[in-house]
Amino acid sequence: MPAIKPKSKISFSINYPFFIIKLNNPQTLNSMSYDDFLYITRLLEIAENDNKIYFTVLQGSGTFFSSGADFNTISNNPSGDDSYELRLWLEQFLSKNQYITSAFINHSKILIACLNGSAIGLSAAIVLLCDMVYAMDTKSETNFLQFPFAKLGLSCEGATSITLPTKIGWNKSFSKLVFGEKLYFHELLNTVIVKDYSMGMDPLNVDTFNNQIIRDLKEKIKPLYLPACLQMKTVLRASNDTVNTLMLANSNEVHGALQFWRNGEPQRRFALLRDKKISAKRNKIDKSKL
Amino acid sequence: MSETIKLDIDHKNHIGTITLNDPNHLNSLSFEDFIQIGEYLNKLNLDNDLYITVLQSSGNRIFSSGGKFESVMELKNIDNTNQMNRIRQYIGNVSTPTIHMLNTFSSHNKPIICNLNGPAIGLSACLVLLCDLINVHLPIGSEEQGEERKPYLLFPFSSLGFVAEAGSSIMLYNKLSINIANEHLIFSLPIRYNQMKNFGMIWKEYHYRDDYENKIDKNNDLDATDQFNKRCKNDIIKNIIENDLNPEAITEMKRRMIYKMKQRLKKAITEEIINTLPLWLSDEPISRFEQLSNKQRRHKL
Repeated sequence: MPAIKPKSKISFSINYPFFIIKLNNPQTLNSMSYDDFLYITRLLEIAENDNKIYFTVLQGSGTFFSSGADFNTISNNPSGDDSYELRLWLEQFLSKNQYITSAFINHSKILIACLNGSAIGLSAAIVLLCDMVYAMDTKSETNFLQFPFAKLGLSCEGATSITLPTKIGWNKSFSKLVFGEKLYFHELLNTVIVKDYSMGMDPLNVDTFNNQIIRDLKEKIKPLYLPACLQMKTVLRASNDTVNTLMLANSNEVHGALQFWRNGEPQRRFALLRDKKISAKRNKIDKSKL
Repeated sequence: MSETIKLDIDHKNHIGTITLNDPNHLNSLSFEDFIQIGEYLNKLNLDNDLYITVLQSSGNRIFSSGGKFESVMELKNIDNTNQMNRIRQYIGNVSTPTIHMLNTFSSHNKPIICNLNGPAIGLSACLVLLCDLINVHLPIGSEEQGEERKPYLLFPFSSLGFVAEAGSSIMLYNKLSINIANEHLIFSLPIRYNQMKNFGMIWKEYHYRDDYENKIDKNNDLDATDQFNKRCKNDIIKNIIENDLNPEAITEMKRRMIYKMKQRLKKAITEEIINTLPLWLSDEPISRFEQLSNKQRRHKL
């Protein structure tokens, strides 16, 4: 595999047996383009192929874990040519989205998410694909996972059609998916979130939080036979048919949503959000002038 | 020779009871005990005058500490030079008794009630997960002294060098939640009582009665668990009579509810065994059991 170029938005480090991926762009609330996600899949490959790595740890920075899709990268220029649009969105949406999700589904190392703050959209879906989740603080009402897919003209993504109902229950999943309601961390405690570090919400504490988790993990693994940990993940996935179930859902999800992209609905809605953000910024500037 | 697993058939009250009866060895289970539990379950299953099956223990300290060291250590004496022989021994001694026992649980047509008098570890914790209802005995002062004093389940497989066994790879996902199960299985951490309770695993709580203190010799712990088991049994009998339960409905209901789980358990046991075998052949589990029995290694409780 060719050497990977470092990227300032997303950094990685190796601290055996941990491979640490850090979303390192707090200015944009760690919003992610497909290229950013694809970069992460390449990092996952490095972790996958290194047999001294047993755990892959995802970390955030600043106030958000990740605010999801970077809508500046999604253009709204319908060509009016359906065959062109089909080809375009097969490439730009279906193949990329499915590939990114499958990289997480198939990752054989133990996946750990350290939630310093909220996660939205595909990033929230990825949190649900992790084997365990630790949170900096679950009491704050500002911390949540959100899946605003219907609002954006999208459908379930990142295998959420399976992970949400199996992890938080059926009825709750509908209110969170269809109506895009915020899923607060305190609702996730003891199901998705296995430990609350109760460190408050100061973004200056995020590194302390991230480092504390690594220290705790090092302590926890001391008595363990690490190959048995990985084999444990293998057994759990095999017994529960996890990979096949998620891969099927992943495929159905992107194929179901492809028509939306072909018709241009998500693009229109992303553009609208972009405009709102720009006018909100303008208002702010105008007001400051007054 | 005293029996390490006892069977009691009470036709009058329609209850069959299997008791782990080796408190001097923390009710640990040998491979023969395993087969014995399976055989007793089969026997109770075929008896149409019984509606309810109870799995209980003895002694006041622990429900059961899991597999017997001595049984595991026997595996050490296998001729290491002959790989075929080793594989055959492991399959024969480890895999087959587990499959046999798991099948007797999953094809059992009566509700299985576990009377949890203390911690259950390893294979025995897996047995607790296979039961349909759990009654629990809370020791004196445990409300003040915290979770550590209450019964817990521990699956120390990753610390012993192998993987989830006896159906626990699916039962923990079902009875707790996926991420919580991952955390406790991968890191060999105990599942505390409040967690079992939060996930609805506990049926009835029994507190140590104050009058035990007066009536029984405090040093004779055996009596406390005997009393607990008796109270549970009386409550079950009362429950059947008061609610006028139809025995055929009970067994039919169990059959319907276990139907899907039975197939999933069969798949899980296969996955567990084929994934654990290479680890056992690596000798890592044996050396870790050895350290444990020499007290060089302790479970983090």
